[in-house]
Amino acid sequence: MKQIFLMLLLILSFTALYAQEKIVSGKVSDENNDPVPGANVVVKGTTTGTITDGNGNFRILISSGIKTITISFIGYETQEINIANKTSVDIQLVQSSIGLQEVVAVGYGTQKKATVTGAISTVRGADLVKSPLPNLSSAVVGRVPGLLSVQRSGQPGNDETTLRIRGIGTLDNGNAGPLVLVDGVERPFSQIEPNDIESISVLKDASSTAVYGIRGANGVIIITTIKGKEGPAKVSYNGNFSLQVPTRLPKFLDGYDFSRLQVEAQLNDNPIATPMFTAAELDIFKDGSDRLFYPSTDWFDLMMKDYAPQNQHNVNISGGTSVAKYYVSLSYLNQEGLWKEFNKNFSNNDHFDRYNFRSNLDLDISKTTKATISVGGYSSTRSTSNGNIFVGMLEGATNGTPGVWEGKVITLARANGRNAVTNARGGFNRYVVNSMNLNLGLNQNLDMITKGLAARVKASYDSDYGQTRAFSQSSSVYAAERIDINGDGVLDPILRKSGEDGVLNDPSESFSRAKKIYMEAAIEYNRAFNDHNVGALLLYSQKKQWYLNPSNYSYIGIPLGYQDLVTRLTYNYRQKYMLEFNMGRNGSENFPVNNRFGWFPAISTGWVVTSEPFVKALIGENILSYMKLRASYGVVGNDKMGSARFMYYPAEYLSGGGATFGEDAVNKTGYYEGKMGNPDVTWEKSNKQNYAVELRFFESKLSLNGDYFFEDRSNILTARSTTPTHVAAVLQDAYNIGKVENKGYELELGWNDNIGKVKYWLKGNYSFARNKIIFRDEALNAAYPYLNRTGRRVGEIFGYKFLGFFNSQQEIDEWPQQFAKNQRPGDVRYADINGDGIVDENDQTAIANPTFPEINYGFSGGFSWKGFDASVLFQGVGNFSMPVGSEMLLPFSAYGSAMDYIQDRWYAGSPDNNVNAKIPRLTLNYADMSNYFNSSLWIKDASYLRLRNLEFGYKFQNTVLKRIGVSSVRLFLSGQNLFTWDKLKFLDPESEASRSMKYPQLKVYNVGGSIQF
Amino acid sequence: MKKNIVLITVIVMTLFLGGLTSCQDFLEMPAQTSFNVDSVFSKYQNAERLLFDLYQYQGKALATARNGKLNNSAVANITDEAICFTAQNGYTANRVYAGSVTSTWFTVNGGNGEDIYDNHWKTIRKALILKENIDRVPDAATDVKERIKAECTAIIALEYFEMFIRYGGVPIIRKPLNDAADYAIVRAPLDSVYNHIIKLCDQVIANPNFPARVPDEKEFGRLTKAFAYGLKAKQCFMLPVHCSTPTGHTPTSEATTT
Repeated sequence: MKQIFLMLLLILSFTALYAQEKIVSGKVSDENNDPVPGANVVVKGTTTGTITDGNGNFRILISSGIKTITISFIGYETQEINIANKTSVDIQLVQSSIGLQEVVAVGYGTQKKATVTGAISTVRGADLVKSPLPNLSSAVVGRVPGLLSVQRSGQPGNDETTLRIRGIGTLDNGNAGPLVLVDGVERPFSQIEPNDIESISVLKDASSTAVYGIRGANGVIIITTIKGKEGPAKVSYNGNFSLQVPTRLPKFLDGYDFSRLQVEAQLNDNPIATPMFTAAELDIFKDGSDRLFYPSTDWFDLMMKDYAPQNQHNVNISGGTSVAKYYVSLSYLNQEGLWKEFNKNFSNNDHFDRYNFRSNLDLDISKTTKATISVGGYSSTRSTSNGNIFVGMLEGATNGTPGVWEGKVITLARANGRNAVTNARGGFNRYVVNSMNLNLGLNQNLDMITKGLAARVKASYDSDYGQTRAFSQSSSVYAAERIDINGDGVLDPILRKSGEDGVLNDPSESFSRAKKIYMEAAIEYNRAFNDHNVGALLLYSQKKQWYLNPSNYSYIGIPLGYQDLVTRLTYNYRQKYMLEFNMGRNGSENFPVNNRFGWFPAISTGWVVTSEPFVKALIGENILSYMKLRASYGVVGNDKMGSARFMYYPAEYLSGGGATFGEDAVNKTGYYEGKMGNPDVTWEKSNKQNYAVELRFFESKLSLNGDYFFEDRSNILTARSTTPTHVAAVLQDAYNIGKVENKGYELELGWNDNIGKVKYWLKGNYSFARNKIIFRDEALNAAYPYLNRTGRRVGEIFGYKFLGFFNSQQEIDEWPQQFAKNQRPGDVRYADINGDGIVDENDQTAIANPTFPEINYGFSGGFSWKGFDASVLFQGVGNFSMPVGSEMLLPFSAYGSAMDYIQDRWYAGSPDNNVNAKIPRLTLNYADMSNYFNSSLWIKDASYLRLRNLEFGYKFQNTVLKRIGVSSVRLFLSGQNLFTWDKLKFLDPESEASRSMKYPQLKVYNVGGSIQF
Repeated sequence: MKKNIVLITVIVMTLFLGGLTSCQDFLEMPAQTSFNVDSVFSKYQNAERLLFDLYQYQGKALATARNGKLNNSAVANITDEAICFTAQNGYTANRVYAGSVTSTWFTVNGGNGEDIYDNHWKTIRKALILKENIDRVPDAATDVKERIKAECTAIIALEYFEMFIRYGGVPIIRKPLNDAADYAIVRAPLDSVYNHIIKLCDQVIANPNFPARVPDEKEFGRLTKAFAYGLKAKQCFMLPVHCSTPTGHTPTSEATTT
């Protein structure tokens, strides 16, 4: 018995030995070998665990039998480590695809996405390269929630997209443009080569823009170019070959319909007039037997090609050693226009050529000192005809001239000698722009003073040079007439020449220059104290700009200056609780000394809810893997009002005016008072609030972000409009009296997953921004408050309410009298809004959305499988109007054109009783414009949805290629603006339906390749 | 390496301090000889140009030499026709005779309308400023200055007359307005404007320095005493019968000083 007991004891003791616990220690670091503090180390299958310390080290007690521990942290892939026979392990975490540990460019620095508390959206360079359009401002459209845009022209070299962050928060759309910075310095970005871009950050709320204080009120766009990485030299070539086609061209009536309806309009005005064309003549229009005198000219057919080519090439080299990293890139772009040629000795087509270069160099001068030298710039040449061909087309009736007949430019008496081709024959303008920018930076790590301290300085120099040469020449036209030359009673056609085809005159030249110098000095501190991460930044910057552009600034002889002092304090506890405080103290030259500097503070906070243990217990990590709440509040400012500067400076006298005196008339110039200064002028202030939630579900496959913002801008610089004239005899100047409110929301949804080997992703974003004028100094209409602009949206269009057409005299008699005139059947019926029994100018109200959209949405998706990849981007806008004007509104006016849609006009004898009539009775006499006033009939809904980008690619990567030194080749097909769905139909929705019409928006078919060596 | 760091730190500090010390004047508008009201009245030559500018908006009212020809019909002007059908047979006349004119178009629409209300006040302000400051000019004789002052008064009378016949009672301003406090001037009653115009005419008529006709043919177009007599006569034709004051009134025609 005793022996068995002893045996059992022995066995027990042995098992006790085996059942001993052990301590496992280790270090957790990320892909850059930086330690990851706060990572979770958990014994698999249990809830016991620990957290890594400030250096990424951990020690955990493991009981026997346990073989695995799991390491996890926000933004990284969770890893399971086998510790069966180990007591020490080192783990390197890999970023998960959501990129929460991604670095985001913020004002004057960078932050990890996980700790960002402001409203910042980013676009990667890889997405920007997908757009084959040459202007970078159009590549961001549809990819960023909160960014609204309109592109009015596709002209080579002149196709800028207007961007607005969160809509328009001020009284004038012209003053609502965002601040744009490239590599930390204020520069325009639309001509930068997309292959050079690492990422674009869009800063939307007060917290992220407070460091830009006085200029941050309209949001900030930060562009970061690619920097070299350590490794062998990588050479790549990227090329694109494209065909450009107009998305949609306006359609005009053909010769027969134009003439027929012109006669109808003529007889509508005067039923007993002799028709301008007899029935026989109308037949000649129809059968085309005499195109010289009975033409049917489709101007776009005559003057525009079906397609035009474009090609882009880029070569870049990047690489580096541990002490020097470089990125050098060279690009060339050539874009041809769509016009046909009408001249022998010059080209009236648009051409655009651009060379871009960039060289970013990062040097480690010593173990603790880094230097950066960046040089970038471009040289471009653009040429275009010096006449406005679109105005010529609108002014040209279809039956007014055959255009070109046997090589001669023809005019007919019927069209008062007009021919749009002459607008392409007067000469051309050539614009040369050379732009260069240089950044120099020094970063000194001051760990020897205190750990985490660093100081840096940056200086930059930007220089632009522009030359415009305008060439003009005379050109001949031939007037076609029929006269009896030889007295035989038969009228023969002759062509009477007038003018000579001259030679190009000596060009008139003008030059422009720009020069900017920017300097910055900063001290930064970043340190982790156990679980607390603290950061601080103190930065001073100043900027001066010379040779100002007179269309953007007044006082062009005086250089433009800005001074900023910026502070930022950040704190986070284990990346779970975050607090950030930003403040800018900025000065502007526009305000007098006592009002010159302002404080712009902002505070923001964030809370990662899913890091809380009670939340983890409640909802499984598999369902809700990440939830962050953010809120921010701050004050930012604005100091610009159009081109005004030094708004406090008192009046100056200017030369001008005057009158003619003397019996022999002599003109005497006078002096007159210029503007009056406002000694109390100061900056605009915008209080912005932002509330957001970021969610990731199902192991971060589904992501959902929502932001709600509210902005209240006051002291808006604007002119007074209620000052009686007898006081305001001199030009109005700037007063801080405007108030505008702007609010809206953004939603972003994303899904990425894989089915077997196929990886796919879907993304959607929706932005809405609506503003309201709270005060704008207008004489308020007490009797009819609906006439006031105050309380409405900025740019909301006012007009009459269209109710239909009068179909009979009886209907006219039953309706209130309109504009103290007699109406006729076929005229427009307007609503009597104030019910006073007549329709007059007091019956106008807000009838349409502004000409800048309130809603912007985008949807993108793609997949990749083996070497194939595909992606698509849809983009659309809503609450967007287009007013119709000039010849598109008034067909046949002053020998002008008529659009195809006028066939749906009201006319007597219509078989369906004009049920489908869309425009009033035609007329040739526009002395009475009452059918053409601004009304809901003529302000069209221009909301659209475009298939903005589509790309299919295949990447070749095999040993054969590797032997010739090529590491991969990717070929792709892509298209831009391939389809447009809208209600407008007769014109591209981003165009303008009046004489402001510009070069059409472009649809691009593209084939391209990129080779990595 | 230590040397490097010291060097760099020194550079950083210097730039920093250098930037901060120039804080004060960095944004200040550089002192420049700007051409302001003092410069204008420092020479007669400059002040005279202010006088020329007084006539900028007078083309219609005075039917004087304009571009070397009598552009607007003198006959039509004398009859106070709004639109002269023969001289302006185009766009503007078409709208008037077609009956498609509204009140705002008529007085505001940049030059196409019959009158631009703002221009009257601009001219009055220019005349008042010139009248106030002409004495500061050092290099002109007193009688020249007095003549200019009289001319300014005559222009003001003309402007008030042009407003009287179109708009009735308008605010009466006696000095250039610069202050927000001046905003609260109300429209004067009809007979006050009438009296004001008569008074101004009388003032210049009594002024010995105001010539009866232009002394030099080069000055043809400038106002003279003959004009003042004519304006006073024209104004008296319009003696308001139904006045705002219930007791009625009689016009004063004795010469009075301000």
